[in-house]
Formats: sequence, C-alpha cells, structure tokens
Amino acid sequence: MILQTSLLIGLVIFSVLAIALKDLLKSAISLALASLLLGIIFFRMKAPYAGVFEISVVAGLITVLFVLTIALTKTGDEVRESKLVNWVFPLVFVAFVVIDALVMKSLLGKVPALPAGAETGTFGDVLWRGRTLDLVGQIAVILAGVFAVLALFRKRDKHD
Amino acid sequence: MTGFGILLSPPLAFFVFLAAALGLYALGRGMAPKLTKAGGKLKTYACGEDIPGTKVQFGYRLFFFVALFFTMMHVAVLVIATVPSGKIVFFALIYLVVIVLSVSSLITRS
Amino acid sequence: MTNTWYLYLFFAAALMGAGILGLLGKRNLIKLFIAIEVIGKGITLILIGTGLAKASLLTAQALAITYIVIEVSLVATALALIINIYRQTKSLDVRGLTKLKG
Repeated sequence: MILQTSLLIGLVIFSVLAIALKDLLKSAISLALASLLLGIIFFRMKAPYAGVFEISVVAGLITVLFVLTIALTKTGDEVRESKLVNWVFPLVFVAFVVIDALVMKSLLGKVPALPAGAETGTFGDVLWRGRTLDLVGQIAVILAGVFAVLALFRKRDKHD
Repeated sequence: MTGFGILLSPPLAFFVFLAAALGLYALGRGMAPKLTKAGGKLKTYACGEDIPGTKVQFGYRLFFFVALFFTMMHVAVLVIATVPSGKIVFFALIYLVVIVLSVSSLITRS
Repeated sequence: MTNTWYLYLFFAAALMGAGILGLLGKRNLIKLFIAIEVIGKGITLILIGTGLAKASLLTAQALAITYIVIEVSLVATALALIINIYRQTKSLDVRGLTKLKG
C-alpha cells in the first residue's frame, strides 16, 4: 500500500511538472514518465491489459507524436506565458489538493457501494461479447481520425 | 512467486531491458574513439570542401503519416490480440478489414 | 476495499484539478493539449479504481482500453490541427487566434 501511494504521488508530481515546466520537450518527457507510472499502478491493481495499453500506446506512441510535433513547430520566439500564472498555479493547486483531501476525508464511507453484476470469463469475453458496440465505436473513431489527418495534410492543388 | 517469475513480470522486464539497452549504448561509447570537436569533423560532409548552408524544407507530411500508420497498426494488434474463440471471430475480421481500409487510405493518399 | 477507493478518487481528482488549472492558465497550444492529456489520465485512473472497488475490473479495463484507443485518434487529429495553425500564424500562442478582437 505504501509503494502504491508513493507511485500515485509520483504520478501527480510528474503530471504537474508536465504542465508547469517551460521547456516543451521536458514536459512531453515528464508526461511519458507519468504514463509509465500509471501503467505500473495498473499492473499493481491487477489490471494488466489496461497497463499494457497505457505503457505501450500512451507512454510510447503518443509521446513520439508529441515530440514530432514539438520538433516541427520549433521556432526562435517562444510563447510568453503570463508571469502571474507561474506564481498562482502552484498556490491554487496546493489549495485544491487540501480541499480535495478534506472532502475525501469527510466522504469516507458515506457513498453507498452499488451492487455490480458478477463477471464471468476472460477479459476477451468481456470486451468482445459484453461490449461489442464499444468496438464499433473504436473502429469508427479510428477511421474518422485517419480521414481527419488526411484532410488536414491535403496536398496543395496545382493552381495555388 | 519464485525468483525467475518475479524477473519476468512485465514492469520489471521493462526496466531489465531498458538497463540492457543502456548497457549496450555505454559499451559502444566505450569502444568508439573519443570525439575531438576540431577541424573538418564538424562540417556537413567531412571532405574538405565547404558546402554553403541552405535552409531545408522539412518533410513533415510523411513523418506524421508514418507515425500515425505505426500507431494505428499497434493499437489494432493490441485489440485483436484479446479476441476470444467462437463466432465473435467474424466481428474481429470486420474490425481488421476497417483497420486495413484506413491504413491503406493513409498509404495511398499520402 | 472501499478505503482504497477513496485513495484513488483523491489522486484522480488531484490530476483533474491540475489539468483544469493548466487549461485555464497556459497560452501555448501544446501545453493546453498536455493539460487535456493529464485530465485523461485522471479519468483512466478513476475508471480502473472504481472497477477495483466494485469488483468489476474486467469491464473497467474494457472501458479504459476504449478510452485509450479514442485518445490516440484525438491526439493525432489535434496535433495535426496544431501543426496547421502553426504554419498559418507562425506561432503557438492561443491569443494569435482571436481574429475578431475589436
């Protein structure tokens, strides 16, 4: 339990670093590290499939896409963030975490546990037989994403 | 769990192979001659001839398409790998056909 | 078992809070998208944590995997949009997109 809690704390720290760091490349790397920690947390929660997807897809491939985009949009002048936000962001975040802890402490044991239907079979049975429509949605979204990227990177017409 | 079983658990195996890759990298660095940043070694082609630098238009389209192609194939393989036996295999074939359709349109239109 | 559920709820809420604060304060387009990714991590954590607490971990994993697949398409489309915006305005600042400002 202590290991799990420290992994969760590391996850939050790397996510906050990913938002707060100035260098875009460093923030993309810390986002990948946060994904890696989240995957390890999933493995320890006995959810290996979600862990595999989180580590190989989110920590691996999405990071490649982010680094590619950062390399393609590199320029001399950087976006100037407002000075006020750099000061206010950590303070508001700490206040938010304190309020979050107080609310969770007061809610402890109050929310009734809804009964869940018993699950049978393997993960493949649940995903492919129980949630078939989700897979239809997945392929539709993949197709839509590919066509959106194709439309955004269309070749220029010869007239232009 | 025995000692070998712990060593083969996926998160630990990740770190083991990461350490192995870093070890190979360090070995290569140890074997290579030390880089001296002098003379023609920092030129574009170390042939003794000065090449005037020109700004290269980065081929961004193909890079993005290749990355997206690889991502789609990876996701599809991971999802297909969980298919159970039975009649549902035909639905998995439909999934695969749509993935092939999107990937092939990505290749032909790029 | 439910006590660990509150632990996951707490950390997921912290992740979502950090993401929303980043969305409110930052001006770089890629930074804004990283904040959206952080919110997505909080949502995945809350899904798996609730599945663990309610003993329906397999369904929770199916939902998380569907979310991750959708996230991939979302990331590809949004990053393509960001690259196009950069080539149009030569900057990654969201304030450069308010063309209708008086």
